[in-house]
Amino acid sequence: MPKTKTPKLGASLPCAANIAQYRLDNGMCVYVYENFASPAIVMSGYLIAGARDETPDKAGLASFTAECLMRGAGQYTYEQIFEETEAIGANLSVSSGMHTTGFFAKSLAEDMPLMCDLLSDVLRRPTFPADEMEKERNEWISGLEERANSTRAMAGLAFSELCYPDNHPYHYSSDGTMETSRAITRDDVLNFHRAYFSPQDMVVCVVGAVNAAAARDRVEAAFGDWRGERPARAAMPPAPRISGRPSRHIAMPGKSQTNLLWGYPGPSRLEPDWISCSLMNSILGQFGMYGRLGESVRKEEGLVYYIGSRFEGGVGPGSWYIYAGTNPKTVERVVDISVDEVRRIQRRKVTAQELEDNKSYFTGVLPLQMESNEGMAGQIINMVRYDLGLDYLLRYPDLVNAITLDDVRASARKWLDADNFVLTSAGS
Amino acid sequence: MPKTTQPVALRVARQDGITKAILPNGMTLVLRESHAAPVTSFWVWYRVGSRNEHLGITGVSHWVEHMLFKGTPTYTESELDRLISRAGGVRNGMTWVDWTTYYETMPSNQIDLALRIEADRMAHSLVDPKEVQSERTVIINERQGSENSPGFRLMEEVQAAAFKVHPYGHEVVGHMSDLTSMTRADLYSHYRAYYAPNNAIAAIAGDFDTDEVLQKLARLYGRLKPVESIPAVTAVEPPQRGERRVTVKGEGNTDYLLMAFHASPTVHKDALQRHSASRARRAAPIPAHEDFFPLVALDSVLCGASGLSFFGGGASNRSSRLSKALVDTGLAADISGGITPTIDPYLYSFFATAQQGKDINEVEAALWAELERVKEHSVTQTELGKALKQTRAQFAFGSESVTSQALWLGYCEIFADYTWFTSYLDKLSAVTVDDVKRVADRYLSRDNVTVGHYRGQG
Repeated sequence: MPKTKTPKLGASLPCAANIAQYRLDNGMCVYVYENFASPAIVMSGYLIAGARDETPDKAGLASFTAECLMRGAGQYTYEQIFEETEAIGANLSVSSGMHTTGFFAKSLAEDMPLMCDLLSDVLRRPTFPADEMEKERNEWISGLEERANSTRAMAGLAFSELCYPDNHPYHYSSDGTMETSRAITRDDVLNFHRAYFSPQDMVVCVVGAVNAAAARDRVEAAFGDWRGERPARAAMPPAPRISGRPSRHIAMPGKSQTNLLWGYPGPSRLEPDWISCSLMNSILGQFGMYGRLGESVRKEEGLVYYIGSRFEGGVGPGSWYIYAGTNPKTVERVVDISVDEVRRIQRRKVTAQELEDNKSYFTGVLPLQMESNEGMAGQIINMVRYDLGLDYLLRYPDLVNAITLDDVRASARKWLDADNFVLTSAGS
Repeated sequence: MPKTTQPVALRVARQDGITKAILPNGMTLVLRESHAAPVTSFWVWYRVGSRNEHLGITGVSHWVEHMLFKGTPTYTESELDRLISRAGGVRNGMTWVDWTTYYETMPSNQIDLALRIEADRMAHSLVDPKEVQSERTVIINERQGSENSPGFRLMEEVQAAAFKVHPYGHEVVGHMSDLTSMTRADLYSHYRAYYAPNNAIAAIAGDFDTDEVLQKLARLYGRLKPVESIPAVTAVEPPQRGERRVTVKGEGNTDYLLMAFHASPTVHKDALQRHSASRARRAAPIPAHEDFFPLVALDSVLCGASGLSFFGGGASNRSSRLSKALVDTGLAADISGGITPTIDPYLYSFFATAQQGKDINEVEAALWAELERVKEHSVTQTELGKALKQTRAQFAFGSESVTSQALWLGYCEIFADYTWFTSYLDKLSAVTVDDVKRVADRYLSRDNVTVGHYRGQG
């Protein structure tokens, strides 16, 4: 193999020239990136079914449906599905989020045919055995009980409820509640699957030691005869700006640490100033050891082990928030300092050095994110899902380097607010 | 920063695509060159962890790890962060019972920076008194965050009950009272005692030229001064003579079960000592203890294949014996098991989350029933074949990441040598059904167990 002294980023990046793309007759999009560095493959993607498609009284339905797919499909029982995959050291999983149901398969390349057939059965021909579904429900309920004992999770649930109005899907947890977990019936699951699982706009991405045409043929053989369309989705309701400081504390006696979040609805990934937002957010709460927040709250005052800021982004207007875990006595101090940091990044431009450092990180870290088949598949799916174009990674350094100090401050002023925000905490 | 114009003499051995060298000052270097991606991962491992602590300074190794991010006369804390990040790198440090390690994974044309930073902080960390004070509350916060988790509280109690003599009995993060009372002098003397080339291993994997990097490492690390002697850990845990039980009460409505058995050594201690004594020479691979790989095979059958990544990512375990017996039957929501290579004999443990409404005693009884079954009938040849195939797949997945490769090369040098990893599949494939029965009988006994119950109080 040739030795590389100076990495040439473009040569190794997935792009339009080296990603094979196919559209099947049924609307499925297939992307294949050949990578023979290891004898393994990853097959991942999504279809358009998620918590957005459920009603509040059935919160968790999309997720429960996804989990139940593995409880029996086609000719396979639950036991056989796991025996087949685990016997060859493979992974197969399906899980649902707010907008999509994602799937992930990883195996030795020699086992791709089996994995493809299993995935097809699981997504298209679930049998939803009643007894197995009850087992899945019990595991779900146990998970909800554990969630109720997690300060981080409880602060997060309260945050979503205060951040989004009750006519907005983001108000509700896609994992459901104790009530909905008991109320959802087998018929609900059957109907959800029938209505929303379809090849329309489904995306499959294969990365690994497989010839592109062979991979396409395999996917087509497994999914090509699947037909169906899913109902159109209503537009996402607006997420109004927060006014004042609505707050909620979840009392959890006995906990040593309190978890806190503060923030509001933020930009979607599709906003034109997304990269500027990301750079601004990195300077504020990520770069190095948590950016400016890490400097002021952890390094200078020693108030936290972790703190950071995050844009959820995504298709909808995901939230922006600052998160931290701290002693119950220092919650207010952490909030005060972090509010001051938000004010600072809004009022004054960041330094040229800060911006250059972050640009350098954003572009330099790309090869690390694509070391594995999973990493590459993730990048390809990202380009497809947000309609960025398959040459996005090639354009990315220029897009990042074009951002100015003014752009960063404009994003901070547009999306951040030091006076009006939701604050939630959970702990003793 | 150390500087020299003359390359230091190296003793080099090459095998299986891996180069191993020993510097005259006793530092071990392990290199694996591969050019699949323009990425290189560099790790420095120190043979120091909670194993090298005692009451009064528990948690000192972990705290010292934090202080190594706080700067040297050459690089301030902020510069360390900034330089690595702006070069497109990621880095971290970790402390465990036997070791403390630091790594940087970088675009390969930037890896020199990591080599320089690690050499610098091995010898010149400031451990500034003011920084010690501000980091004290950071670490207390880290511990309090862990205390929020029932699993941490249960593990802490079980470890303490399982080890009466050996320092494996306390948590790596340390006791709260020690975290509040430890001084800068404690930290600094610990740093000086253990951070030296003759107690360190550098491991590098990825896109570089071996000869070139060897010379760079020799220049940067060859002049670092070794310590005269490294304090020995003399504690030997006496054999357990009967079941031990602990109960932890805490928040939540969920009950948890942890069962920990004293496990076999990873390698024979005398072999490791002989190897250490001859570290300056080329030494033959250290053989694994004859019981260790049978226990690994047993664990695969009982709990599923464990991922070879330290960062998670193992396969599901729904077809494993214990998942069928505990999860499929509705007793538990989850079951996992694990045996980990260590310098001194550690624990083989099982952790289960009880399903809502299920009695933890019932979960424990079902687990015991499976252990008795495997002790009586062993496992099948088919099950061993499955364990091997699973592990082969995990190796293929692990080979995608140079971070994972460098981790394993360095980690194995802590308790054995890197060939422990390269011969892993061979060792596992040599395990027989009789071997598994022998180790199940020997280690999974009621006299050798510490059972912990976490009972949620609502």
